[in-house]
Order: sequence, then structure tokens, then C-alpha cells
Amino acid sequence: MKRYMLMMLCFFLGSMAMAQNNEPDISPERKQAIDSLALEKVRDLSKYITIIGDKKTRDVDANAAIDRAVELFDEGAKIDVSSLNRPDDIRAYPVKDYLKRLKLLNYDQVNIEWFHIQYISDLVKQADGRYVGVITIYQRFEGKRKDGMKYVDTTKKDITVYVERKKTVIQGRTIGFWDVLLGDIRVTNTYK
Amino acid sequence: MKNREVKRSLFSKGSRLLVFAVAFGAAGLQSCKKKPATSEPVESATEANENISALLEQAQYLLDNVEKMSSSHVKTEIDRLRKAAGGNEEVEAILKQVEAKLGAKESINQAKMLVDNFENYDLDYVKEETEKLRNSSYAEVQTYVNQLDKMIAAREQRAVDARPLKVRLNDYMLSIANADSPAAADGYVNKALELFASPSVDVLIIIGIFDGEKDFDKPTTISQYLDYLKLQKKAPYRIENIEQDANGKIRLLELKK
Repeated sequence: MKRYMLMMLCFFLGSMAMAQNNEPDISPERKQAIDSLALEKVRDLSKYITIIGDKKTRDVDANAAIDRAVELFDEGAKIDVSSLNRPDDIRAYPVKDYLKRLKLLNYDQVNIEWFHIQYISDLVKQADGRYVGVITIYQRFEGKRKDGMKYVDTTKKDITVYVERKKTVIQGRTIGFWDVLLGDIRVTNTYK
Repeated sequence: MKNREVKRSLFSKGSRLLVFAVAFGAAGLQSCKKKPATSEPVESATEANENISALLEQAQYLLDNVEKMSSSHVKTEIDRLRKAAGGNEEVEAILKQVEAKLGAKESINQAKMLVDNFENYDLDYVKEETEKLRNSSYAEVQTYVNQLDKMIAAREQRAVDARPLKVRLNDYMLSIANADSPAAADGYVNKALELFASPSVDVLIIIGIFDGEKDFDKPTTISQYLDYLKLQKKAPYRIENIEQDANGKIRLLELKK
């Protein structure tokens, strides 16, 4: 009887653990809202990068854009930098370092445009309860100097996206929210 | 017999008077005809000089008393003197001064009237009239214009303050996103922040309502959210709910896509 009771207890605890990792899937409508939220964050990042790179941006606004952009990323995330001049040398920088370097690029005019922003890997729930997906973007970079020197490239980049359900208490209310954070940005292709 | 003599005597006197009158008249006509041709311009010039000198006196009187006379009377007098002077430069110079003085007087009166009756006028009318007075070279008018500018700004602010909080905040958010310049956006950000208890007031963004439960984006602060509007140049969320503190300041803002 004791052995039976112990087995039942083990089964009950095991079921509890399974239930935590296998919460019922969210509805398709809710999933779509989260997908859109994550895509929106990437579009926001795209705008911040354009602002930071633009030489006409006021310093105070560039710094504000850096702060807002950093908030979009998971801690420790890195961004790849590639160049047509050194095809085999892709360097990864911590997000804040990357954005500061972008602001100080040695060009007189910089235009950065992101396009074809879309999921290549749908958000999928992981064992730890987080949803992970990959969004791909194309970036067209154009830098010009007064002496006529011009550099242009287009880069395909993959951005890992993490979405996690969290709760917080605000004004005495418990709020359930989706924390969308961007992970590493990896360069997958660079061309003219 | 005596009567007949008297009558005859009277007749003879009347006849003599008539003859004298006719003779004097004829002589007079003759003397006119005989006036030398050279004496005519001399007399005309004298008369003209007398006229101009009278007109100058009248113009000067007008100049000295513009403040005391009604505008319509001054204008009538200007027209009359100008016509009478026939282009005389001295009279014209004084009349020009009269016109300038009248213009100043009318501008000052108009500005004073706008100030004195400010609350009774339509705001658009006051703004339009103030703009007309703005380029006036008279210091007194400029003083009134400065006063009117302050009164207009205060009245506009009162109108803004009278609108519901939700409408005011929504207007500020749209103004930030659509501002012509970063400096203009900063101005709207500061005005919007005045509505909040502090820059760190929480902002909740609803991304959807599923099975009666609200789903939110990660909470942010009003300071960061207004920065977002300014940098992204878009205001994609509408105000869903506002919570105010005892002072009427916003302590929690809920937005929805």
C-alpha cells in the first residue's frame, strides 16, 4: 500500500511538472497578436537604426534612439557587422557598442533602409515556456563622403525573437503581458 | 397850383438822380474796360498767396488738433484742403503729417479697443486685427500688440484646458508624432508631461482582448512612450483609459492598438 501511495505521489508530482511545461496552446488569434507585436518591434528597431545612422539627427535624439533600441534587446545580445571589403570577416558587437559605432560612422551622409521584414521561422513554444522565432530582414546601407567616396551594400540578416509571458503589479492590478525581446542579429549574406 | 409846382419840382429831382445813376454806371463800365491788362496776374497772385497762407494755417490747425477731432472730420478736411491747395507742396507736406498722425491715432484707438473689449470679441477676429497692427511703427501700438499676444495665448490655453483630458492628451500625442521639427516635438512632449503626475507614470498598451482577458505589451513609462512617438513619428495607439490622482494628474494610462 505504501509503495502504491509513493507511486501515486510520484505520478502526481510528475504530472504537475509536465503541466507547467505544457500549458495549453494559445488561440490562433492571440498567437497572431503576438506575431504582430514582435514584427512591430523589429520595424521600430529599423526606424531607430535609420535615425542613429542619419548624420542630420540631433545628438540628443540619436542618444534617445540608442536607449530605446537597446531596450528592445535581450541582455547580452550581439549584432553582426560585415563588409564587402572583408567577406570572410564577420564581427559581432554588443548591441550598445554596435549602435554607438553606427552613430559615429566615418561618412558625411548615411542612409539605412530595412525592407522585406518577415518571419522565416514561426514563433514556437520552447520547453522553458518562451516562444522563439526568427525574423529576416534586408538592409541597404549607403555611406557617402564629401571626397566622393561611396560605399553601398545590401545585407540579409536573421534576428532571433524571444517572447515570454510575464506578470507584474501596477496600481494594485496584476497585469499579464508579453515581453518581446530581440536576440542576436546574424548576417547571412552580404552583396552589392 | 402850389401842389402842381411841388410835383414838378420832385419830378425834376428824380430825373436828375436817374441821369446821375446812368452816367455813373456808364463811367463804371468804361473804367472797367480801361483797366490795364498787366495788373490782373499781380492781383491774382496776391489773392492766391492769401489763399495758400490761409490753407497753410488751416492745415497746421488740423495737424495740431487731430487728437481732438473725429477721424471722419479730419478726413473730410484733408480732402477739402488738398483740393483747395491745388498741389501746393507746403500744404501737401502738412497734410501728409496729418494723415500719418491720424493713422497712428486710429491704430492706437483700435489696439486699445481690442484690449479693453478683448473678452467680448471673437478670438479669430482679435488675432486677425492684431496681425494688422503688428507692423505698425508706433511704440504705443506695439505695447498694445504685445499685451494682445499675451491675452490671446492665455485665452487659447484656457480653451485647451477646458477640453476633456482625453482629447487634450490625444491632441498632444498626434502633435508630437506629426511635429515639423524635433524642437517642436520637444515642446509638445513637455506640454503633454504636464498632464501626468510624473514622467515615470506607467503606460499599458493592450495588444488584444482574448476570452475577456486583456493582453498587454511590456509596460513602459510616459516619458519613454512620448520619446517613442517623437522618434518613430507615428502614434499607432488610441487612449483606452485614464486614471487620475487627487490633483487631477494622470497616474496610469491605458492605450489600445
